[in-house]
Amino acid sequence: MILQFIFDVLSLGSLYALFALGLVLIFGILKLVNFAYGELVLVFGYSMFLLGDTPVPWFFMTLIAILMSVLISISTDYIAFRPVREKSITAVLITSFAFATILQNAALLLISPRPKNVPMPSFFSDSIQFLGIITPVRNIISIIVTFICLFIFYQFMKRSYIGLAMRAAATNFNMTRMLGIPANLVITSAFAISGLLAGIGATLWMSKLANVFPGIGLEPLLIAFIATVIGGMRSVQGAVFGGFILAFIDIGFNYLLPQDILKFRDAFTFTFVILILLIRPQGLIGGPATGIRT
Amino acid sequence: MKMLEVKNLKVNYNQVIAVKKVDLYVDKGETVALLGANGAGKSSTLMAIAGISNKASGEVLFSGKNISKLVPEKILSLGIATIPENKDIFPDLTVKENLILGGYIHRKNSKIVKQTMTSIYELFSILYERKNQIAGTLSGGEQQMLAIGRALMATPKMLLLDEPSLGLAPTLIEKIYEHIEKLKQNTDLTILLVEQHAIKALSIADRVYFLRLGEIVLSGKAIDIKDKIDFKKIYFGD
Repeated sequence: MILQFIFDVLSLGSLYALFALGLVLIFGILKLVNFAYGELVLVFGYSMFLLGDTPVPWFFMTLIAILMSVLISISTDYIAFRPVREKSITAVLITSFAFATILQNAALLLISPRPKNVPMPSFFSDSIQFLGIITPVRNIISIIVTFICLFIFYQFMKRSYIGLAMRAAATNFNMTRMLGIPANLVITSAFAISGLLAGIGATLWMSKLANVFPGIGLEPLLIAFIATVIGGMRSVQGAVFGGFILAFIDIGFNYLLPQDILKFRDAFTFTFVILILLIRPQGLIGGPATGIRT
Repeated sequence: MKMLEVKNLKVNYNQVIAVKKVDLYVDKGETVALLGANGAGKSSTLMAIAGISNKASGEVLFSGKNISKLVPEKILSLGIATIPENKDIFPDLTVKENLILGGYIHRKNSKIVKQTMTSIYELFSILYERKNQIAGTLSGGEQQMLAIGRALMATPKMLLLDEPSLGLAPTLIEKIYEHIEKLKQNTDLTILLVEQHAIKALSIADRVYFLRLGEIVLSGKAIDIKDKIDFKKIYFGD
């Protein structure tokens, strides 16, 4: 029972952590929430759907779809952020919402308002049993993929120039520029990595859902947003930690709440989140103190 | 030879005029100090040269080239490194990572990066001892050394140094100035130094400018000015 619980939290939390990481990366540098972030899952899903009828093998299909979400993430920067970045926060909020709405409506008009099937290998849903835990294969894949991603991400942020520059830019963007590091390079890289994380997260997300619809982006955005708020908007570790905490709360209520109240689980989750924020408004893991928008 | 020339510089933040009219120049190899009280417009002048303030007008020439419209990253690559007044080291990164980022423009030539880092560790041995420490845990004086070291990593031709004495204990100010002095002697670095601590700055500067309410009110050779100057008048007006 306990093992099963821990495993469930780990598998859901790893997915939440991936989503949160992609969102906090942009926030760290620009001090702006990318509200078009959830739409990267939509882009991934519809890319998979459109590729579904082609003879392309599943693995390459997924790679192409992830690449699409990277490209759309970069174009979010070019279309929604860059033209108004220096003007005002409100302007960027509106443009990022607008970009999200355009993508949703494009899916609605050009494809269909109804859910469309996303191809997933059937073994993802096979159940396996070990140490008294029963789980679908996709949950194990989720954990493995996330931990590999987190490891690579950590090494990248620690060892590469651009990774270091992103960490530096998250505390003081102007100073980073005064060291000769081009602002646009840092920002575009952050959007690219954010898109990559969202794309990988979307693969894991879709493995459960197996279909895509125009409003699909909302839940991942909400998850990522809440996880980063719980963990602390300013730190990457906080976002990952927040992802696991949110999963812990979600799964915890799954186990605790009686069957007929379970459909109100989100209300319980959000109440809990509000409680956390009342006690620690800066998030559970505080980030660097310099969070001034530049 | 004039390395840096600022002509008719104006900086205003919305309604507030920070710099009314500043004309100054710095010759190659010279150390020039920009002095004045709090709010005189010293830092605004420096930040405008570094390309951070986009509300500035006037001309900034570096080696004869107009740089007033360039972005900060471009200005650095031309050879002007800036050390802002609150040091602005990256507190979550280690000392070494801070230095590595300072050498970003040399990233394709790891030999230069290594050599420069070695010479900075020689100049500031404390940084070598603390190279794997998180920069935010350094003391104020060490952070100032790191900020200087990080700027030197770009092997600049010119250094814009904003109040290195700010927030430091007198003994540490002494030490930092010893280091700047050493730097001045060992390299042909051109330095534009902003300071409130006028006596300290006068001791190492070749020439000085006094700024009051956004305007230059006095300028000349440091040795000439040192003894004659009426600080009270410069700082507080008539």
